[in-house]
Amino acid sequence: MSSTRLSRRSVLALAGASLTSGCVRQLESTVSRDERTPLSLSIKTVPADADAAATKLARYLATRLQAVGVAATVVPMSREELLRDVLSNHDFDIYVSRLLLRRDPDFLRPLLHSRYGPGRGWQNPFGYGDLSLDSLLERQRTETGSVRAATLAEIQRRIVEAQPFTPVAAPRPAQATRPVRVDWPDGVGIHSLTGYLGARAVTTTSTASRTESTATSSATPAPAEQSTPAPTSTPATTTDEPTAENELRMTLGDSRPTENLNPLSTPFRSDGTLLDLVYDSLGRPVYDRMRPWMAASWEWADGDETTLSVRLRDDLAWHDGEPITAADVSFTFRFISDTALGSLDQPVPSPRYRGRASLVESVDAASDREVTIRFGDVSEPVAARALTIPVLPAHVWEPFARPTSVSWLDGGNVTEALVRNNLEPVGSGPLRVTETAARESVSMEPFEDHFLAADALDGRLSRFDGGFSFDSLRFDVVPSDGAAVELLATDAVDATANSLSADSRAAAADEPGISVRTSRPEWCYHIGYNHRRPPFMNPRFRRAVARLVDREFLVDSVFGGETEPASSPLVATTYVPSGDAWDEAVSDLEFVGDSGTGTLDAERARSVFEDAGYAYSGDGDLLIQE
Amino acid sequence: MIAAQSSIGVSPLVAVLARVLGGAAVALALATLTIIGPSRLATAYGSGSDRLREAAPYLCLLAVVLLVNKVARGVGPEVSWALGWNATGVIYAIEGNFVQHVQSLATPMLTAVLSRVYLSGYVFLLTFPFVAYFAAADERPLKLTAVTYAVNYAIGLTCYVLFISYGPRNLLPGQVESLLYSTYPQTQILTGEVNVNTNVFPSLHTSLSVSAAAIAIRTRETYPAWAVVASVLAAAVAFSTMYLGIHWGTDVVAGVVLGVGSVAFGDWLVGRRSADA
Repeated sequence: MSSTRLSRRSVLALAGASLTSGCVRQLESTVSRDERTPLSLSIKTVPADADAAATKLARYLATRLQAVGVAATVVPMSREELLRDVLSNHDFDIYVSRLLLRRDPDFLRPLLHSRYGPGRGWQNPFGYGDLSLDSLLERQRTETGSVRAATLAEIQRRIVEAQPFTPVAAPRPAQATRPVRVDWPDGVGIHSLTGYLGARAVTTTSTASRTESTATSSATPAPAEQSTPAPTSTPATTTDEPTAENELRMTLGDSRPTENLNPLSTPFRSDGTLLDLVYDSLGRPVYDRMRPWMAASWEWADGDETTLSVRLRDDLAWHDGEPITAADVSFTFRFISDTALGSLDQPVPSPRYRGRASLVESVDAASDREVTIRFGDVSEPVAARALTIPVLPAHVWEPFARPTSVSWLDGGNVTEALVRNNLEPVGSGPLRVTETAARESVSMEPFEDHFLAADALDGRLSRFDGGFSFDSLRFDVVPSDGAAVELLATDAVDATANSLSADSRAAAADEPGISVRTSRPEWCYHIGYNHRRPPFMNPRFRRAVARLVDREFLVDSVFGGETEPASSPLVATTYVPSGDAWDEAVSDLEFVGDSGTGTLDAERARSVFEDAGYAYSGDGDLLIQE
Repeated sequence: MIAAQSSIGVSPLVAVLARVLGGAAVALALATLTIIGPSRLATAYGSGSDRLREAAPYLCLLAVVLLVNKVARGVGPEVSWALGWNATGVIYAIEGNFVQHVQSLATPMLTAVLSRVYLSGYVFLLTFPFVAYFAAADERPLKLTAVTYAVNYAIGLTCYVLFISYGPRNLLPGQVESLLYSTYPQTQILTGEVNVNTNVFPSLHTSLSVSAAAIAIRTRETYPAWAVVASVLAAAVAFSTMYLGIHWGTDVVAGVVLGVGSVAFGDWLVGRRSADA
């Protein structure tokens, strides 16, 4: 694409050098008339080492695009480079990646609202713009119940119709663990805050002399499936390295946290679970309900449904020993909206949390322990999303509210706070980071001044009483899923934090003493289009591409079994509509070929592109007008 | 090059390392006994220090290049991404599914053999020349080996910094199987310590092996058996890189050119310096 554009430009430049501008205009209209070129595009994604399913999906799409006369190339990139190109530079044609699914559907608003098009981060990276969708997205955050459900149904119908991006499938995360060593809480994923806080070491009967709180561990029933032969003596003796007596050892497939632990960084963050352990927030979704976390309690003001009074717990402290006050909370919200704190001409918001921060109008410290949050016109459940923003220590972050030292490179609108590595994070979470080794490991230990460890808790949080129950937590980076399963089989680790691919899942299930646990979908594979570039701004073109996708086949062959095919990004919620209108919208985009086999009917698929207004060259190349 | 800079602190790494180096050490000992022979070793012992002094500048050159290599591999990827020349698509466009065809030959037996060739055989092929040429009467092959390796690394590293290229196993999962790592997952912990998966063009495994074989053929008068062993082993290493899904055919072709070219350059350099002296 670019080569022809360049050549046209250079022709015009040459012409312009010798002709008057009026002539140039005449020439330009001659030159640009009916200038159609074969479409070639790149599909950016991550390599198989990072996410084999993403690479396979990208390859699948590339071969189907080639079959309809589009020269498509897969470009594998490291995770952070892919995110930089997609989320910050907007330099892509098509990309294939995971989209993190949030519990509340309001995550769609920053993802698709046209106001967020020019920004960075997971806010409309596509550059999509539809004013009527914008108003629907704004409306749903003020609504509740069936009214909101109806609006969300309309939003999803429009998404299916316009295909701003194409959702493909949402797999259930699968982690492998050794049940003889660790007992994980039911109903939550292993690699989650509640998973780690609820994990207990299993003291086997043969080695039970160690006086741990056997009440919790021995009371839990032995894992149902995969019961291992009886005499498993598994005290930590097999490793030749001195491991801490009671360490929880995890494999990590993604090395980014070993190089950057900045909660504000976009390219280095994905699910953010590691930082959920390190940074606390005012509230936490615990077993599906938002619960006060750093807050002791909160209360909506009488007669004013947009004002929330939050009271912090007493004696909260940062990992460096400084006390936490309400001023830190108000600082955090101010800082996230402008990481330059007013020192630059324009505010520099944190690309992460922008959607959540946009719900809040103001945050004021009413006293040392009390915060008053004023929300815009939003419903309570949506407003609660803002309570999950990690609270940052003002004394640590304030010095970084300045332009980066390479401001001449990044245009001066990036702050040090957004790009710093933060490898010694000062949070207030139940675990604190003790050591990181680049591309190798992250080690943590329980933070003894955390409220879970110190307070006697009642209600729903009582299950976390005492906090993290091991002496330390260690994440070792592994090059692949296969290597992770191997380490698990040799008892070098206790569980995998990385979700296993279909192949490794099968390999792990075959190993004695290892069981695989799945949890509900947390991300959705999707195909993203750059609407800033032709021909992707054309909905007919995107719809034609969407009809190359055989979800049924992909679920079977790429994602392997426990995967939801997804036409809607709300696949993991209860808001996916049903009924004729929805079914019709979905079936309009049916795969053009033999469903379930991935075999494309190339002739018919080409005619779909022709119906969309595209023409083919004599060689069968799909032509676009630049 | 196999010397792991730092371990991730888990025993499987040490175990794999021991097995790879152990295999190479056994081969090295056997070859020393049979190809060089005890008598030649005994005579070499006396005159060895002279030869070492002669070859010292060349060995130092190699040491410096290896040191630079080690440092540059840390910062290299960042520079590569900043340049942003991703060659993966170009290479795939050139050769298509060639590696997939190579893998159609796969059997468990062949995978086992070629995995050992790729890991231990390679280490043996590169280290034995130093022992053999230290024991030889002529110091020239020792110098040539050192210079040739240095040139291989210098040019290979330059390419690694300039281009981003992922191997077939990373672009074509499901079509090209990552045979080494799917059969012996623990080996990836080792190679992951040494290599970055964005550096596959050219194949340094191939180029260094080809260089070692080319020099072995030169010294066939002294070590006729080594000329045969090195040639066969070099071919097997080059083949294994494709068979195991690690390298593209293009990487291997570039590796052969680099390997032969490095020997030619080494020849010229060593010849010129000897003429000066």
